[in-house]
Amino acid sequence: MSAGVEFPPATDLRAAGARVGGVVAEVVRQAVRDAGAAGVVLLDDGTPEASLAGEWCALGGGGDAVWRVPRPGPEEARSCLAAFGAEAEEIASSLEEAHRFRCRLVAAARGALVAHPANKTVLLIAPPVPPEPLLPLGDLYASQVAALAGTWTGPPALQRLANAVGGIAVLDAALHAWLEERRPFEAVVESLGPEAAAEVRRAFEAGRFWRRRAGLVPKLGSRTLGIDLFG
Amino acid sequence: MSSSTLRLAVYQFAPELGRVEENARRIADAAASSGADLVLTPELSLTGYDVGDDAASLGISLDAGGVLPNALRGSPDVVVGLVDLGLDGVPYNAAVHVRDGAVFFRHRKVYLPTYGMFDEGRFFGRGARVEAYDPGGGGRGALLICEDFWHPALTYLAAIQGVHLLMIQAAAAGRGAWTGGAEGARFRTSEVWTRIARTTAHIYGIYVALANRVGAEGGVVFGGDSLIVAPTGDVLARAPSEGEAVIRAELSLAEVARARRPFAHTRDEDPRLVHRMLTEILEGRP
Repeated sequence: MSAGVEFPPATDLRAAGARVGGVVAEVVRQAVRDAGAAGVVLLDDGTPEASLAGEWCALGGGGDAVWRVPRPGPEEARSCLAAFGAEAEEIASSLEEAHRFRCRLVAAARGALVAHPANKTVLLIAPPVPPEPLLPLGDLYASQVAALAGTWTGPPALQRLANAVGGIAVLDAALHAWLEERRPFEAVVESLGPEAAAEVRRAFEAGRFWRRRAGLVPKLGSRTLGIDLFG
Repeated sequence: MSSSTLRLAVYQFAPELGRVEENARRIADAAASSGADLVLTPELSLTGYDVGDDAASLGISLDAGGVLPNALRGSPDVVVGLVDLGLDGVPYNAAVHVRDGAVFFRHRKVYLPTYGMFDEGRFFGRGARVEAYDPGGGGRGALLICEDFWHPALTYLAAIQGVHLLMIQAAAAGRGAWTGGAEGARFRTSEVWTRIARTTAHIYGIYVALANRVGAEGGVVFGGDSLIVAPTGDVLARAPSEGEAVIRAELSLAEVARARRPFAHTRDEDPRLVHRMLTEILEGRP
């Protein structure tokens, strides 16, 4: 992070949304075409990311070719798990997998590609990377999502980390400076404090395996998962 | 085309990956309706960019009598991008000036980006020459391909061979969509290309034409913003940063002379000094 540099960079948000959305839409349109698919099934977890991803996928594939699949309720998930002999006392951790399963079934029925709405901050330091073949927001940092949609989401550990360093924009600025501007870790991430820096390092290292298997991410910045060398 | 002017067009479009005949037909159609003497198209415009391991199977063996797509016969002159399958069996990323359906001139890409998001060095062999030729209109021209243009020594080699027109094919990814570029461009990266093109044109007093592609391959959207720059460094024509477009300009040797007249940079250029110094540097002696 360059001291005092604002992240995300100040810009006309309406214009930025149009440009970014246009890029995402174009990549999604081409991906659907390349895959010979009928459209996109969006894993709609009710987040602002899902809202943006749904809007932009519709822009790329037409509203009729985007199926937004909501997260199943606890009872649905419990039934689903029971049907496959995977009963669980505590259902929360299985909800995402039940959601994923539901999306895959819908995609199989529709002949569609599944898209996951995870943002770039999540993909970078909240492994594992979702296995879905399309990650439409995968090159958009959480703070950029927040700038466009008013808020962002991520796993509780990531939210705690963001809060601990002064907000998601501070965390993203450090990640951007380290990974995209290639500034030294010691100079940018360690300025967040030793505990936060250690957590970022640990999470980034833990994600190395998953990043090699990332789905298709529309390229927006200088270093994109699945496209650029990342380590 | 007259003895001292050339009507140049740049056809910016999104080639379909692997569909050589279809891409050739689109190029021929655009050239036929352009009203131009010569039409410049983007890098690998016949094959699409991300050919990967299909490079050899999509290649045309130009040195072994390989035939260009039929659609290019009867077309005005075009500079297409294709995979040139060498006699050594190696695929080369090539810019080919096609006249009357046959190869008139060829440049093999010298610098193959193999870093970050690029892996051209895995699939292509490296060209070894930058040569000037007579593209029409009485002037001298040269061809470069994308990364070549980021190595100013290649531009210099073209310039000291007396070119009036430098044509660059590109498949440049758009980056920086968050802020966008100047003057409303979709990508910030277009600024860099424009800057290099304008500086090159101004320094050498030459026309610079850049044909970048649009469309998406994989997760990459290409940045468009093709342009034609005058020898004064002024932008004569610019395509949008998305969508198919044909831009045109009439180039003249008189304009080259006029742009150079206030200066003596071209006249005073001393390639022998450069040669002597390079020799000393490369041989490690003062």
